[in-house]
Amino acid sequence: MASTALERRRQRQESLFAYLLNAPAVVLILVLVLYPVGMSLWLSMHRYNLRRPETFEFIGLGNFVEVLSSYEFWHALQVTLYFTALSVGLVIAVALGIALLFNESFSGRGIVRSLLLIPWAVPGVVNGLMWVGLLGEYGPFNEMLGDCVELFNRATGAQVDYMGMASPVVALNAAIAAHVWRSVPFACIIFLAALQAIPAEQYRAARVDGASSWNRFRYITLPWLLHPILIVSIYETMNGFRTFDLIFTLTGGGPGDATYVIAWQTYKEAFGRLDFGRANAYSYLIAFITMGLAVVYVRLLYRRGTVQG
Amino acid sequence: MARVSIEHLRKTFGDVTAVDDLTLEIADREFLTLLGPSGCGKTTTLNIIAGLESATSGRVLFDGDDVTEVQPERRDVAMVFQTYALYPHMRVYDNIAFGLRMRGTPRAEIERRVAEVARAMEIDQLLRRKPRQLSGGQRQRVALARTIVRDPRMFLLDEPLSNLDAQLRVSMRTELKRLHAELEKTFIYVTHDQAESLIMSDRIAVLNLGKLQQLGSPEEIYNQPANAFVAGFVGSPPMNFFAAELRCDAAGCWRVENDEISCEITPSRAQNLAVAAPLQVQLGVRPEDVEVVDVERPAGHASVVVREPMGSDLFLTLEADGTTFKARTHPDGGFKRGERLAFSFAADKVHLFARETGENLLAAGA
Amino acid sequence: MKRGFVGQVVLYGLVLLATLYIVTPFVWVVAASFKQEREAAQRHWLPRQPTAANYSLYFPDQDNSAEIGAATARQFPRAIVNSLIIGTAVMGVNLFFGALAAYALARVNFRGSLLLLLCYLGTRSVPGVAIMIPMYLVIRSYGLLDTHLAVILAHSTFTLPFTIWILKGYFQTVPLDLERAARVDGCTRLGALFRVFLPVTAPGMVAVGIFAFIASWGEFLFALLFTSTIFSKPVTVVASDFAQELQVSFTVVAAGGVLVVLLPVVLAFVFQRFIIHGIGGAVTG
Repeated sequence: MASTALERRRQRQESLFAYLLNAPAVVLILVLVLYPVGMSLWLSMHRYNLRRPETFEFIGLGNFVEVLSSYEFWHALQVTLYFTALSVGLVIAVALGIALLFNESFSGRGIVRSLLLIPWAVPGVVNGLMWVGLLGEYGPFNEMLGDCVELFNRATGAQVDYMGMASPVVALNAAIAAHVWRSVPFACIIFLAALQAIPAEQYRAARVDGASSWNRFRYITLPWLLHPILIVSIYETMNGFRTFDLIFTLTGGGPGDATYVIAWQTYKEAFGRLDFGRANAYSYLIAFITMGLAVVYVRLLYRRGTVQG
Repeated sequence: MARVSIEHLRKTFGDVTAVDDLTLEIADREFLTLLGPSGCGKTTTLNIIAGLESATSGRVLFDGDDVTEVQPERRDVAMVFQTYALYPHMRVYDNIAFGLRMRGTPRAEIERRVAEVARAMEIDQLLRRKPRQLSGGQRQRVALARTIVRDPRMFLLDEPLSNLDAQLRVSMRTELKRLHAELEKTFIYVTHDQAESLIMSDRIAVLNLGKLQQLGSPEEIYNQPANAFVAGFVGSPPMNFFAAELRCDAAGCWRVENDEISCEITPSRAQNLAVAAPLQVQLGVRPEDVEVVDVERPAGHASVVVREPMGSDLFLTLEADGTTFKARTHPDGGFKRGERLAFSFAADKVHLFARETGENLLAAGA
Repeated sequence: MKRGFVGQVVLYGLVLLATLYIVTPFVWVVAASFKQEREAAQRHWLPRQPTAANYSLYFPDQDNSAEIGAATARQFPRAIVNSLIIGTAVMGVNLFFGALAAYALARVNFRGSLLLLLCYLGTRSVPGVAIMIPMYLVIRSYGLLDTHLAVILAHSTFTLPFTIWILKGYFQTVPLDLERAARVDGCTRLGALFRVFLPVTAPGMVAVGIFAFIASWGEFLFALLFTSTIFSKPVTVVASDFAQELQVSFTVVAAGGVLVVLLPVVLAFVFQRFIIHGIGGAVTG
């Protein structure tokens, strides 16, 4: 049935109305996201250092070649990947555990669930400062770790020196611990929402069918949680990649370059060395990696039919 | 005054045609029901009358004025929704007053009219409450009060009773009929419940797949269905259908036959038949027209499969050689499951439908 | 389901463990903020002689400018005001423009809606570091460096897509009949939006508003880049100065941290029902 001219006009009016309502958000995103994304590519192909603002010269992929052949990039990428992979794994494991636990019925459940909101509401900067104290010379976690190493030494006769945050291994993993602590609640709340969405009849039906509690978890709970787990892992992957504020206050990238995550490296390149050209090459590489992840994100969501158009 | 004319109305959603060339004239103060199964286009039609959806083509006229392009807020119609659509953030009073406020009615008059309607609808005790504190029946009353208070030119009702429990539905039917009589306004009522439509309407428009199947009084719809769809949709339990062949014997007498049944058509009705026999037809017989007591000239034999006593009636599910159908009879008939019996059809009540088109071959105007 | 005694004990044990994990770091910091400076080096958790001295550093009328860290601490009240201004504006932008966009996406059937949705989803996944330099240059070219507006724009850009996404899902749960009833009752389309639709969706709006506020309050990278003086620096940027001042006692830093965290934590508690619903809805909605 062909639509009439009248209807087409009406459809155009509808579209116009909708675009009008979306205009402010779209303009903001165009000016402050899409335009910068394009400009970033343009800048990344130039020699552009604020220390020598008069030189702005096109060098094609020169910055990329420089970055990709530098130790700093690969080191930062390696640190970031380690940081992100471990964070994602830990966040999911801890959040899932807590969510399953808090989904049981016990007195005080409401209170402990609201306590979850504390780490979530702590800004990253403050989280870093907090863990400076917690892991600092007199911090409780520092002492606990020290005691553990001492016990380990005594038990095995090993001679492991514990240097606290001065040790690269401790610093990086401490940053992960701090990051995970702050990220768990969000994931946990998502998992709890997913758990509550499981119809109780399914469990009753499974019990009637004689399924053991493990089987009920395996065949009912887990399938319902797959989608939230997917979302959390992608969300946390992106979060890991962009971690900056925590590093800024907790380690400042140190000791040495042990916690130079890629966001920190880019920041240093741009606002430390003022090398905007090279920093933009960094930016573009990060954008490339995370956009790739975003595509996977959208794809996976679509396959599961959760995005309604 | 509110006469509604719908002219060649068509509405498509992409490839789906919801309303297909619908032409309908609704008289002032009439109670007209749009009846049909879900997806037949009845709600779409109502929404177009209200202005909530736009027509793909065709016109809607109120008292001769073309309102097709008029926004809903300027049509002065009132609507009751299936979900009631009470504003959850407003108290009952404000729900009822909302439409008046939007029209700039003076405050004192709003108060007076809301109080008056609330008293009439017996919800004056509930005015301070929020909708979620009301029962289903109370919400229904508020929804009605909200429309009545505005004194609109017509009332549009979209399945207003379908969310009520069975008892409340019956009493609200009566109430709506009373309201219609008192308000003296045009009511356009949408329902999928054929019993409701028969009880309440002045006229019924039966829709299927976006097309008007029949327009007529409840009696016409029930006794002279225009086609097999209307016949099967209206009436409960539904009409029995038998695939059969229409023949004309040497004496000029018309008979409908298949392997199990044989039934004669009353000559006075057969004169409407303008077809060439033999013809493949559907024989339609309502359960109350299947006779199982004192059968003189049996149309066939069947055995009782299920007995359903309903108090004043007894419904029998009969089986004749693989065909099952229902018969209504008196509860003291004493039929037993498995019992074999002879049956016949009330010759002046049976319907014949063309197998291909479903058209009623015996209808007076056919 | 009935749990045995052992089951109960195990359950409550695990709950205690999980709760300790969640609150311990924060509780320790709060406790530290009430300690005397010399107590900071001792192993006990609770302050033996609780003092508010650490907090008094943050109030400029006290003459303790000689204390280490006082220079940073003195900036806090003004920085908190800056954060409030920025956060409130970001919340307003999100609620107003986010609601309009989400309404169109949820209610109007138009060509390109899917593309728009994907555009928002894509923006959500652009990491700030990837566009910080061009964004910095854009802001600089408009002469907006060191203004509240620069930070407000940046934060709005990054919160809007999430707001729109959540609100769209939420709006779709509101029955269409409500707006239709309003139209029939005499509202124009925008009238129905503002008089019926938006009031009805107030809970969802509160959730995303608080979300946007807390996100803005805690954001650091763009605030750091776009502000340079106390006239626009939000509290996260001021607090980050402590990271450079190694000789500041942790008790002072802890007090500052508590001051920064106070408002978002209180908001999170007050609006917890909305927030938990909102986060949950981000996935299930």
